[in-house]
Amino acid sequence: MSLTGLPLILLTWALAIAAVVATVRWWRPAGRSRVLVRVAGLVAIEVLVVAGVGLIVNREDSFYPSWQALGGGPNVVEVASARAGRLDDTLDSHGAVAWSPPAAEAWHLAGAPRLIVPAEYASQADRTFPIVVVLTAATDVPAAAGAVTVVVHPSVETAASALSTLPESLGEDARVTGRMAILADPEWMGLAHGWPGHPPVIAGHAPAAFAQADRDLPAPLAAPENLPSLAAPLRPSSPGSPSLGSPSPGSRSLGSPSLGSPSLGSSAFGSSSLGSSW
Amino acid sequence: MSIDGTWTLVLGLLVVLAFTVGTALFWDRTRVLGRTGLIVLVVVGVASTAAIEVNRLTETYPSWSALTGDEDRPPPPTGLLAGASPALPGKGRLVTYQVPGPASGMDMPMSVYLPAAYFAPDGRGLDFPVIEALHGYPGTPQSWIKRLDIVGRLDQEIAAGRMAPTVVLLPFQTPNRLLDTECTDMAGGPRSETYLTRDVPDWARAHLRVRRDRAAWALTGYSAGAFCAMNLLLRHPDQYTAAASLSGYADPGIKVGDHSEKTTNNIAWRLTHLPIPAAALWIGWADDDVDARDGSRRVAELAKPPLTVVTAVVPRGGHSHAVWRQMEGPAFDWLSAQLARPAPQV
Repeated sequence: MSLTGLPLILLTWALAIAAVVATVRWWRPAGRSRVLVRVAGLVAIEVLVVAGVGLIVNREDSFYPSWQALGGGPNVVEVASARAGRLDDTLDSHGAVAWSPPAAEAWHLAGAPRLIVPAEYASQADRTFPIVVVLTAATDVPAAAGAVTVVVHPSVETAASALSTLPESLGEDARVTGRMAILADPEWMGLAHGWPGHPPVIAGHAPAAFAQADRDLPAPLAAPENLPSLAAPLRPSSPGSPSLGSPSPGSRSLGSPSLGSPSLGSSAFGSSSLGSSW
Repeated sequence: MSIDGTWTLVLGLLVVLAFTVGTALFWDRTRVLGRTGLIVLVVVGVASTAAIEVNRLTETYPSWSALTGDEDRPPPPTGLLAGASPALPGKGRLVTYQVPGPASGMDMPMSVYLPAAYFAPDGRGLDFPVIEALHGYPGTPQSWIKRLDIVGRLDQEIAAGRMAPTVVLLPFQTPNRLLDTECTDMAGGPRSETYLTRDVPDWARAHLRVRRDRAAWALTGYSAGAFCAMNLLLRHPDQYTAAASLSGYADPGIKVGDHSEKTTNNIAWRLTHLPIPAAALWIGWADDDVDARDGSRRVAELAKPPLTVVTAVVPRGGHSHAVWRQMEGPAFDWLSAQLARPAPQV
């Protein structure tokens, strides 16, 4: 019998009325059990009336829609683990690593991007890191302290829309979230501001610019606790919207089958985290 | 004996039983007046005991002094724990301050969670991100503390690295425990919105080592507090970057007094009639919690870029603390992934 159904409410009130009638009827029974019968009858009335009121309130507001809910319900929280990047072993050496993912062809860069990971990248293997993209022609570029740095030398043919695949592509090779900041030299400012999802853009690539990027970004975090997402999209998503990667405003992760997947799947909103010293 | 303890409830039940037995015993020895008195005692006993249990669930009056209105004001934040160290390594501290509201006129106590890193040597030079966590109605910040064990959960999420060390503020959303404000500025009534979005942040920035920028401020709440979190995010996107809603609604469900519950204090109306801000929403509900489910789905459906939405659905559990205890870890983890990190003071 449903906890919020009318049958249970009606039954409870019917029993309450029956209890009242019975209590009155046997209020003065013969014999010595008079007090016992009265107490039993009154307690029954009290319990049934309180239950009857409670059931009505509960039906109105669905505090506990089922007997199972009353008992607490099953725990459906899941914790994924950070997915290792394919280049993790190489990146751990702390130097700049030339990065040539298959997607790079469409970016039309002047050279292969270079990856630099922060010092704690190797020791914090359970963390995923935000991304700092540096758009520059310079080669002596410092690195972000709490993010994976990608040094990109664009060419005149490089389009911002094509670069939207970079975070997703980087997610294959390194432990990164979809959260990013862009450091851009003056000539690439237009490209930076056109980046899908409009991540924060900071001018130059001086140490102060990196410090600012670190301030803007979430901490490196371990994979979050997750709950099931909405099973099906509420409405068809627009065709061609990127399914992964940067927090593109064109894509909602609503309905994305990101349940339990590590950070990159739900990247736009996925994990990110914090140093061990905390 | 605490007002919300198990033994208080047991005592209430025993008193009801005693009155009941008394009624059975003395019925025949009394006349109309006495019998009426006996029945009144039983009814009052039952009602009081039921009220004790409801209060235990909602923490509307977390203490006897809260019920009688004789609560001590928390001490002023002098020196604010400058030399204090956390009781245990890895454990944050919960402290309560009186937070006056020069802008709103409200003047309420506020509990503050300070993470362990706040007291660590290398955390002393840092400003921390902030989450304002709002309670439901009826309820108080004690509902987060006692029923949802927010301190234990924050300690756990931070220790696991799923969350960066964060200062969490637990303000009252109403000056009157029996008045549901839904965190709005009520016409001719309390100005809760002003208190929560101006006075509380101003106080925190003046007294705590917290970040001042929007990128490091977020909101959360359960039930009415969840509506609050979403509504305040949409109304103040220049101050908050994200909000997590645990079983929230698309409308406040009260009369604000200026009909704004149908317009500017109505999330569905805002999302269909006003420019949508660039912000991030985490919307969680239990699938058998009909009203919150429908309201939450409505908000998720209406949200459009640049507002981003993630959903989190617990299949069963209703509108209950059991559901929110499941949701708070995922919600805090997600919020921390949106928030800018603890950063050196500038």
